[in-house]
Amino acid sequence: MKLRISMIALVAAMAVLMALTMTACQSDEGNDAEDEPRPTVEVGDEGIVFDGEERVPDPNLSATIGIGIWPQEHEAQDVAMHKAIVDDMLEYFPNVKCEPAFYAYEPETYTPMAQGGRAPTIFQPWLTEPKRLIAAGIVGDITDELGPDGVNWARYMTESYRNILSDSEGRIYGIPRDSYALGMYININLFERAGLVDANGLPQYPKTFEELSVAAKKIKDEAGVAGFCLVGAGARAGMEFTNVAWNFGAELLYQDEGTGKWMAGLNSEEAVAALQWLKDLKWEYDAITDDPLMETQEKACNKVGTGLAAMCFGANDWVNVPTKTAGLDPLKFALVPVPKGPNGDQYLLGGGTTYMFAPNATSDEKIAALRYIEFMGKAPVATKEAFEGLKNDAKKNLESGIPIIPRIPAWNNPNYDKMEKAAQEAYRKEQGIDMRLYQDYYDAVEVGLRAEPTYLAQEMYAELGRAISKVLREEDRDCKDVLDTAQEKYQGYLDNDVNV
Amino acid sequence: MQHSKRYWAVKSHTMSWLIILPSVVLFGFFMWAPLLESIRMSFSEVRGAEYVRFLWFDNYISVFNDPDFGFAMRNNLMYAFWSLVLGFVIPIIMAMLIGEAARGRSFLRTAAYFPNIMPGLAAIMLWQFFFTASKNGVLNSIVSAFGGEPKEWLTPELVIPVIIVIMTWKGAGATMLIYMAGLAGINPELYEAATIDGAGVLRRIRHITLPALFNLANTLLILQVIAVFQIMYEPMVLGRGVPEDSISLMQLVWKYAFQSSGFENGKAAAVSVLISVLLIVFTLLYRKLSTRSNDWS
Repeated sequence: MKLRISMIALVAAMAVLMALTMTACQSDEGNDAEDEPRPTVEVGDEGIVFDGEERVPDPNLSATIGIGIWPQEHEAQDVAMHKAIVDDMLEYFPNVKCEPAFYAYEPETYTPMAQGGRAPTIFQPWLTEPKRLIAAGIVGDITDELGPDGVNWARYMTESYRNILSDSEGRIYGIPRDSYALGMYININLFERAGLVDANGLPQYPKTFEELSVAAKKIKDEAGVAGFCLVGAGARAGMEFTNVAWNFGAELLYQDEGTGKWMAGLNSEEAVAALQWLKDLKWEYDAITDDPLMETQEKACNKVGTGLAAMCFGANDWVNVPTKTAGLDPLKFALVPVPKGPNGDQYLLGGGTTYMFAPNATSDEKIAALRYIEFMGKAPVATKEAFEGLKNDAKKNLESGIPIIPRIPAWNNPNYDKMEKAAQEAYRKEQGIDMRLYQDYYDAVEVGLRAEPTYLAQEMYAELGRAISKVLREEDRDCKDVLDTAQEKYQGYLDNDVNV
Repeated sequence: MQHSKRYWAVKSHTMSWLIILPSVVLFGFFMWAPLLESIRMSFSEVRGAEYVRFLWFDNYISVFNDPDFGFAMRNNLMYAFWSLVLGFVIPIIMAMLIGEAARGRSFLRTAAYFPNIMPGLAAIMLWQFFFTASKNGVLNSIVSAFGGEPKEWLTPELVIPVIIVIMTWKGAGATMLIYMAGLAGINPELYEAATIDGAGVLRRIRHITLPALFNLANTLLILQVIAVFQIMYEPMVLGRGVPEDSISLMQLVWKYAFQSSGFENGKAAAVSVLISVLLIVFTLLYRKLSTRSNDWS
């Protein structure tokens, strides 16, 4: 029953994600913040409108917080940036002690940590997690801290994120960090070797799936490496395939108008065509890496970065992996939209990352952690400290070789968006990033961002992942057959957990 | 002052209990309490690890209705079968062969035990490079060297036997040492007497070695089945994305607890309890049967 309630809430949340995120992207209208009087407005040195009044030191805030978003020790530039934030925090909040507590969220580790009172004060799970963490009662309630008596950011929250990060009674348990949309990573060096660049040196990336197959084959023939690195197993494979199937015109989950029941559409004609395309990429074009069943998202990004593959699916929040981690020159990297389907459909699967808080954190600890986010420049407020934080972030990316590209906004504060743009601009110019390598992607995000399936997404991805593994492992497996099996099982989950 | 017998008995028992008390407390806290809690969770709706309400058999019914439970149960039986076919006899043979070696016995013992030193996950990932379908996989490189085409090794039919082969490679050395200890306990005069009576190697093995190892093998067989029923990370790494082929019951526990859209700890606990019940029933049956066969012998 609990699961069903949380699923209903999730439906409402996800249904509006795309529209509201796009609102945040494009428009100043419909901003919750506009319903309330704006605090004092000040024009910053660089023409930015800052929210709020001049900050004064607050010795009354007393807390010791575990910073789960602290970087790993070997990430020297990130560590230096966080140390600078701690120094800034000390200046304004002398009684707040920030303790580095690097933690990469995993459900397997978080549950016992939270239940044992050992979770860091703040950590960053991805967007599929908040609902089940809230339902399990293992994250802290920050409703009061987000309100006017706290940091007063609730007014900037989009309705979609508020729904995802709240329980059925409207209590809020987290805030968004940023949003992402699935696209494709391109290694321009390999496109050049295959002669797939135009007169301006820009990659002639594939705009349709047919073009993708042909380009991948050409790269394999000309450059001798895989044209595409496909994740062929597990939930990640199912997630990427979901985007492909959407663009082929498939509706993988829909509500029956007559009965109101939620129906799986995993074995529709369009979904079968999408899987057939994917199967052909291996068996007919032989254009992907040797063993796609061993690929993971991280391996795929690394292969693109190291030149072992020319393309893979990837989102705007992971561009550091092919560049900084794998060593690809950021000027030789491009992020482009997922290709259009046969009927011209072009969706980009959207998601995000959030900040959440330990269940046993005190109110002061939660406020201190929120202030820390603000000093990082990841809060929805345009303040001088946040501006400095954003500039430091852009500077760090410049020094690390990570492309400085716009985030997809997760909040609804135009002042913040302008401030972020201003903070990045000088560093982006210095980096020499050609925004033409990203523009098509951001244009596609504006019109085609689509939220993950509303019900039992993990189960859907898992079943699709199995189907993909089967056709990539055995050439004679029939796409329709494997999707029939996936359909039957996913519909079973829906009937057991949702349609009751 | 003269103390009664009862006084000395109580005093000696108290001392004994005090000595074992830390172990009892630790065992109770870390073993029995979680076990009992797990049984309670399996009959309950839980929020995280907190009890919400009693559900009777809902979790069990839900587990039985999940097609993956059928696959996991079938696969676990296959793991147990193949581990008996491949993994049970090999340590006995190794122990006998190394025990007979005239020279280099220490080296052979160390070499056989060596894979045990390697962390389990690292060992599985090492073998993954042997069996990968990539042309760079070890087996496919060998095939290519002889002019063959790279192929998929971990097919639905082969994945479970291959996992058992790897487990045997990793664990046989430790079991072998136990059998060698058992062999060392056999009175050498028995072999001398048998040899004088004209018994060959095979007859000595059949009539002296195997009967002497019978009780040990009996126990190790049960332990092996219990261990194989808890198989988890091996199929997770080598499973090739198609759980039907290799998913185990413990993997199913993990799936319910961490992978599903909700933390379904009640269902995870239900599968754990089912595994325990299965193993208890199997052990009792096996004990009964082996006792009877002992009586007959």
